[in-house]
Order: sequence, then C-alpha cells, then structure tokens
Amino acid sequence: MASENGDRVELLPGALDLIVLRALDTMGPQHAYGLAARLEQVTQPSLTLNQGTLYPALVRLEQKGWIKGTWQRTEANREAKYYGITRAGVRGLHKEAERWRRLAGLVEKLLLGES
Amino acid sequence: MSALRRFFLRLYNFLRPGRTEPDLARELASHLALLEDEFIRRGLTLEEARLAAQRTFGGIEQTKELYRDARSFVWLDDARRDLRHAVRTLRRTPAFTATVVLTLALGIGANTAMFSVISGVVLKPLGYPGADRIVAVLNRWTDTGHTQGKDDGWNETGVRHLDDSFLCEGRSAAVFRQQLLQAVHG
Repeated sequence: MASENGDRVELLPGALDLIVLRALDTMGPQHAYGLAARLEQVTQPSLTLNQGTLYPALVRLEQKGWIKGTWQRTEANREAKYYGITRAGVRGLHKEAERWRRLAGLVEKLLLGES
Repeated sequence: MSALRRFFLRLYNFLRPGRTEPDLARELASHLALLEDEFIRRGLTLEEARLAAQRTFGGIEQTKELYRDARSFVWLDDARRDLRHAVRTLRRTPAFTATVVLTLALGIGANTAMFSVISGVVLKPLGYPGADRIVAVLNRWTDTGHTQGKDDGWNETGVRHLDDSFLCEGRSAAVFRQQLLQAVHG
C-alpha cells in the first residue's frame, strides 16, 4: 500500500468516528452520501475512502446514542436516511476530541524529542 | 454509559438477526441513487452513472459485512452458523450420529465411574479426624510368616510398641494402651 501511494494516510482507530461526529456537529443532519462527499472535499488527496466504509462508523455512533438517523426526503425528492448529532453526541464529541488532542500531543512531543 | 448501550444493542441484534437488514438495504440503495444522480448531473448516461456510482461506493457486499460486524457480534454469529451447520450435518447421518453419541457416552461414563472409585479409595482422606494417623495393628509370627489381623484380638506387645502420636479408636495411643492393659490384667 505504502509503496503505491506514499503520500496517502490510513486512518487510526476511532478517527473516522470523530470525523463523522465533527462533520455532523458543524453541518447539521446529513445522509451518508452527503457526509462522504463532504469528507472527500476536506481530506482529498491525502485520504481516499470508499464511501461504504462510513457505514460501520455510523452504526457504532448510532448504537452509542451519539447520532440518530431518520428517513427524510432530499431536495431532489429522493428518500435518504439523515443522521443528526444528539446531545449525548455533542458531549461525546468534546470528550473524544479532548482525548484525541492529548494523544496527538503526546506523540508529537515524543517525535520532537526523538529528532 | 454509551459503551454499555452499544453492547446491549449489539446483543439484541445478535438475538434478532436480520432485524436491521431491510433498513440497511434501503439505505444503501438510496446512497447509490444519490451517487447516480450526481454522476448524471455531471453528464454521464444512466448506465455509466450506475457503474460510476458502484465504483465510488466500493463493494456493496463488503460494506454490508462491515456493517454487520459493527452492528452485532460477528464471532457469536459465526458460532451460531457453525452450530447450525453441525446439527444439520448430524441429522443427515443418523447412524453415524448414534455411533458417535454412544461412543462418547460410554467413554465419559466409564471415566466418571473409574474416577469416582479412585477418588473415594485413594484420593479422599478417610472420614475420621486425624485420618492420616489411623493404623491397623497386626501380629506376624516370624517363624511361620503367618499374619493375624486385629479382629483376632489386640496383642499386648503390639500395642506397647505403638508410637504415642497414633490415635487408637479416637484416643491417643498412650490412653488406649493404659485402658487396654487395665482390661486385660483386671
């Protein structure tokens, strides 16, 4: 993988959940396709995701009660499941973001110490 | 709290398999439709748009599998599938099943019986206090090699040589010896 795409990164565990939560928090309710399109915009070209990989993250978050999906109609009158962040989800987002920053900071510090 | 909630939902989904399947299929279909719309808007034909949508989405069956992994406990699901397969196979070959069951039953039964005996006779201590200090006193005639059990009566010499740490019929050897000698000599 790395030899084919040296500049591509793989997601760390938990990162996708955090990204999805953050996107829903800032953009409001989205369907999976909307989310995927948005993520592609933000992360290209360093990260390319199959859109299908979003679904496990959506299940995890919904089972935790952090997001909630409801069937609605799009502007083009297509049906789609819109996911919105719940109040527990906002709390979870803050907690997870904090955890992520701490971990990233730690790794960064260690890396700086190395060189 | 959220982790616990998720655990129970996964368990529930394991107990009610297929409950969320229709919703998943509907959601994936809607996702593909939205993708197709986008590609048509960019000027592709219907057929091209469908292919492009599938390409962008990635493997649909693969996605379903990933989704199921997250939704329920896969290892439990797999175990259930294996078990069901085993039962079906066994039911198809009753003679073989009967042989195996019988062999196992006899094997386990024989082992249990044997162990019960060994456990009672060898492993467990006797049901008396100080069981490790219980002895049987026997007389042996050195000239004939004949052995006489204790049922033939206590022998004074034998009892005299008993170590005081032994218990004789619930009493220490010293007390027992004294009582025995008293009984013999009046």
